[in-house]
Amino acid sequence: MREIKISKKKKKSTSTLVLLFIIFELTFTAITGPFMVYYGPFKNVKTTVVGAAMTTLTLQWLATSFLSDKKIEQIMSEQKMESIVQDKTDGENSGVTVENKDDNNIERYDVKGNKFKGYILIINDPTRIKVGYSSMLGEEGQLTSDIAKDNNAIAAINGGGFTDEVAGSKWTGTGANPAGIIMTGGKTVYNGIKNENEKRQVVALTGSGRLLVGLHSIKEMKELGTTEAVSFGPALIVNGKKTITTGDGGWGIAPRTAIAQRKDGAIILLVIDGRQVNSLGATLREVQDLLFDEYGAYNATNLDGGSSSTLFYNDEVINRPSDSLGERSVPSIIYVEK
Amino acid sequence: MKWMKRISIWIVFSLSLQCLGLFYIDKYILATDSKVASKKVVEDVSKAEEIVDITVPEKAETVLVSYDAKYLTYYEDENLKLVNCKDGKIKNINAEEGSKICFSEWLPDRNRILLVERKTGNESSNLVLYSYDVLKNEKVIVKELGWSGSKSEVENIQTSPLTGVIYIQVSNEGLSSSIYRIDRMGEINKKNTIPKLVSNIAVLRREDKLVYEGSVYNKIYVTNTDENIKDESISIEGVDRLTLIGAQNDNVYLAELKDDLVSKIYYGKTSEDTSTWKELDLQNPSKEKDLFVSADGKVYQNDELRGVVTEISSGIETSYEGELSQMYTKGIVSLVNNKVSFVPFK
Repeated sequence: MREIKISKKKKKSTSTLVLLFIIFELTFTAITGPFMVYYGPFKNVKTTVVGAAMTTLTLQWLATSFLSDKKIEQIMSEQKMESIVQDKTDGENSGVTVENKDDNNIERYDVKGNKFKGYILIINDPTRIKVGYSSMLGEEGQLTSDIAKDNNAIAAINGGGFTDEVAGSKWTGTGANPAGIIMTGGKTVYNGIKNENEKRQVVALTGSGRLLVGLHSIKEMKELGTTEAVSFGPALIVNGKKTITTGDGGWGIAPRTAIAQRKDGAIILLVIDGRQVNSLGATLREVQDLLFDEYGAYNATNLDGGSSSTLFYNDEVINRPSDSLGERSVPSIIYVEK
Repeated sequence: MKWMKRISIWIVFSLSLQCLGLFYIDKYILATDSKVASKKVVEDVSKAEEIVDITVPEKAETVLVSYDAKYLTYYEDENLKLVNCKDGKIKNINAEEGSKICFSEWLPDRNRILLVERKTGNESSNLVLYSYDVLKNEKVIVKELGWSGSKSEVENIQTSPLTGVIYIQVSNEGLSSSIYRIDRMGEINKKNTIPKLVSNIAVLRREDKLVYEGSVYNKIYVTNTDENIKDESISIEGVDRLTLIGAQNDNVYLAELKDDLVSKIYYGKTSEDTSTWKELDLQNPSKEKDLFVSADGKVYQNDELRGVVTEISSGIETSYEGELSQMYTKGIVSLVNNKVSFVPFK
């Protein structure tokens, strides 16, 4: 009898101990966690948390209650991108000389980093690059692959951004309402920018096949002989210089789409998969570094990412769009003529 | 002393766990990825395939074709099979280990299937939603739905690929319905419906709105984007019983029921007054199950005995052989002695 009593008691005290242990660990971690994040040696974690908190109005207290304003400012400034103005003149001084006009080749590469998978197409002749758009603009967007097929394109990536909600319901944007400008074949198809002199982030191509990235006004684009344009950014490489030299770009990890141009005029299209088990996605910094270090980009810019990121090639979507329903409808695409 | 020691160990445990976790995030997930490998891809030129006849086994159940009829699925001994209609090749769509596929639905505009799986042998378990990309032959998990009893069944999945919203209708032993909404960010929530038991649902194309039909009184409701506003009921003056037959291009299609037969169809937008909705009169009263609304908004009526499908507004008839299996965007799928026959609409 006695033995049994003891073992019962023992059992009870072990389970109390386990419970106490769990409660202690939870409270202790909750209290010390923020200090570990903000004052610990983990720089990337700190900048990401501060960046994410400060860019969301309702979450700013997450950073402000633990760090001084000065400290936050310092951390945020590490994320700043340099704003480099692209050389104005078209032709020799622009740094880009189109060498391979009428070259019909496309090279395809698969890229693999530690946490992402990507796809690259290199188009030697930049004058084959055009902007396509949804035939139901204002009502609904269309799939990148469908707009590409309608334009008899060999390859395409998704283009500019759009309003991502319908009547107050978030994330349900149908790609109907583009943001900024859409220009194709020298004609303006959509223009949400009222002021001709207002500088906005653009992705554009001139008639001679030069890629324009970063801040340009509509007036400026016209002067440079722009024929194709959508609005998006930020510019990642301008005049052969990186715009992100400290921090990761501040946009977090996500699926990405980007376009770049080499010195010889060749256009690089890049799509990186994200929000998936074997490909989390990439930061803007990683996109920039990949295009600069591995592919010798001279000018490069980011395009609409997330679930919009799509790469169409040879009648097939070759990347894996992140939505569970697959490819998403978008207002505009950038495509390669056959 | 004993407690001091214990607490110190606990503190060390928590701190080292935090450090480990943060270290991993810092050095792996958030570190700038500089090691990138590139591989040139050379395309192989494939030959054109022969077009073959497609037959399904005798015991095949629920034969369903994709939106463009390039693929079809059926169940054989409770296993889901996928057939490429071009070359007749058959693939298995496998459930996760210890689970069974209990519902599958083709998406309305692409070759992709939504699957719901349930653990076998369990009295109650989670239903899990998967998305299967036919072209890439890949299955990914979308979301776990709520806990449900073994007798609850998925009855319907409706999606709008444009808004990225999925609605799933689950019947709880025929007593009540659970309707789940999943958005493109993977967020899931349960919609409260006015009648607890729902018989049919449909989603609008460009707007995040669900239309549903109450099971007992055949009343039709449409949800509001703002959760705080009560679902609106849709009624048509002078019509006693309505049934929901579908939604296409933001038009809702409702049929008037008289003695369980349909002789008139009303359609229009939920934002418009139903008195301005358009009407379609049926020459011969039809059962609800013989009506089909195609993606371009045409309504078709099947006459089983004659083997004819009629487009109601124009009266154009398309005849088919065998037993009608399904109508899809471009035509009719019928089974003629287990051979699958595709007849485009005239």
